[in-house]
Amino acid sequence: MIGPPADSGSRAAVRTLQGSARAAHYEVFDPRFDPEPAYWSRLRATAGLYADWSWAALAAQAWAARTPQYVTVLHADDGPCGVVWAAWVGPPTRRHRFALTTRGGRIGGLDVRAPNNASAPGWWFADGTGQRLLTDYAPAMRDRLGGGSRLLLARQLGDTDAAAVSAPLRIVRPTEPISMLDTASFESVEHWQSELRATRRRSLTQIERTVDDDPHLEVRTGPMADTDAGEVATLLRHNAEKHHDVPIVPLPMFTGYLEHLLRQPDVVGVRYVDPVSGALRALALILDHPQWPVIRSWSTLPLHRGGRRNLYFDMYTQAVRFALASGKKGIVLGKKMTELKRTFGARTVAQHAALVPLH
Amino acid sequence: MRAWATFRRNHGIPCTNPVTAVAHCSAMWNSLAFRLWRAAYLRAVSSAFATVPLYRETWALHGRTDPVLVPGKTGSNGGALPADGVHRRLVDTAPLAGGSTEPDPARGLAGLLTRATHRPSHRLVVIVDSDVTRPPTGLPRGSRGCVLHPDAATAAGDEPVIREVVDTLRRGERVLTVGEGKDLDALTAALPAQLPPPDRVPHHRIDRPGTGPFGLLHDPLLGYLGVLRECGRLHVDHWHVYVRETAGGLAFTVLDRTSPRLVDVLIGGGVPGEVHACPKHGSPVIET
Repeated sequence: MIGPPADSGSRAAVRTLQGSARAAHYEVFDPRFDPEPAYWSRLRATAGLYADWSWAALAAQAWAARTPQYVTVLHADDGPCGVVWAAWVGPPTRRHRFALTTRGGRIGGLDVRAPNNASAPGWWFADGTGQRLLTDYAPAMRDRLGGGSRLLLARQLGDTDAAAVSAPLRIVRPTEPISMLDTASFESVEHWQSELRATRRRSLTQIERTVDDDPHLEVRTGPMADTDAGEVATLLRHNAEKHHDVPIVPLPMFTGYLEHLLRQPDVVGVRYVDPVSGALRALALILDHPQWPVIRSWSTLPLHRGGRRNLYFDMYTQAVRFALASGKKGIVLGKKMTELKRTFGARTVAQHAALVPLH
Repeated sequence: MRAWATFRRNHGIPCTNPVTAVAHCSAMWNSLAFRLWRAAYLRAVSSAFATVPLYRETWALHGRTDPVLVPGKTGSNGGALPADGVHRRLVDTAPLAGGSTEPDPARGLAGLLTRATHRPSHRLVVIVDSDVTRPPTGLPRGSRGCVLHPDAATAAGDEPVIREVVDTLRRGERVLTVGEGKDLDALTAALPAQLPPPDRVPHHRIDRPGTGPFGLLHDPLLGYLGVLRECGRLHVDHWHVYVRETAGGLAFTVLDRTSPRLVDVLIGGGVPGEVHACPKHGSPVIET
């Protein structure tokens, strides 16, 4: 049986932060047990946090995770001034088990990253200073979790933030870059395609024509609230099982999590469906954002089960069409396949991870 | 005895006279057996909650009872899930360590055949059911299993399985057919009249119980769950299956298969019923 932490009478711990230049106090939430703070929607909008930061999705994500996960909100006198999501990684963590305890061991470290999203940082500070991870967040978590918290790993640090992490014995290493496609300068999909290499342009045009001509395929771009989460989870699993080339394979998105995520109005799907049966053949999940939506997931059925060739490439055309229609600055295409994404006009943004011992 | 009394109370077994209960020769054995049965179920629940996404999400976010895993969350139907809901989420029934998500509708048949037919073995076991696509495994040595689609059961002659049935019967060996009664009738009618008819054990669905004298409780998702014995009661395959009474109906758990993990599944749309100890055999029986 898993119960709430013993010291959480009011569930979230509210403490005062000493010696901080800006944050006056902080709250640490465990989304498994703590209700959504009243200010959460407002904070999400202010910070521009994607749909996977919605509290319902966070709770589902935290329950179906290998490690306990904490959401820390830093408050200034005039309201929340920072939010950080982190997984507590300690010795009882098991590759094939969900977190079994509330705390996850006495000794461990904090893995600061975005929930279920490798293309975005796991923190937001009102003044945009990543250094606050060390000056405000780390002391708060040490205070909350005790002296057993020995390490802080921060991922998705840009060049500026990586340089700003100044701590003794820190280790900063470059990680896989993310690809970003600027679309604000384009007037139409054709305009975007005209800027691409001739072979890529011809290929995209041909693929789009093939998709249009296929009577058993229809492209639908829009909200996902009416979609069967079980079907989406099954489809996404095809792609998730291809990417087992990392030491610790991330858990796939499960149906319960997707039920909560897809209900969010800022989740958009590019769906390739059979117009007769409505069955999903391929899907790109886009987490919407006022300026930079991110393509969170892509998957397609294998060919022998109704999938189609080259839909992955067509998905980029559809994503650009969505970005242009909704007036975005661009689209975050995520990690991996950097060279291929470059042929779509994407640029790469360097990313770093910093490991900092906590004293 | 306390455990047996608790089980009897929990399961509504109408035995109000403690003297009678103590005098029952199988009560002591039953006490231990039911405790072991229950312990196997609790291990399955614990394992499912710790490693299988479907149950982790369902029981953590909504809750369950007997046992409660997250304080304050009791969910609906005691945490049991309808079979069609589980079927839609099969992708999440494999544990994190990996495994199959394909249900096996022929699961559990081999262990029940002896009790279902009162014969040690048959040369050929034929399942006639559209839901069963793979032959049963674990049959006794010398027995072979195969499946036949009900539509093919009437295609006399040119269907390989029917040819095999005919050849086996011509050699004077025994053939057992298992499936819905009408499908078994169709298969028997398709065989040459001069041959002896094959033995038959009909499927019983929890929402459409048959009358006997033979029968196997079958569900397309969970496989074979119990057997109709000579006492006329539907005996649960308690070595491999656990049954629990919930507000939504009888919930079945497959104990010995970890992937797909099927725990507390309401089959047949959720059929109310009770779990008793059989007065003759001492093992659990269900009444709907």
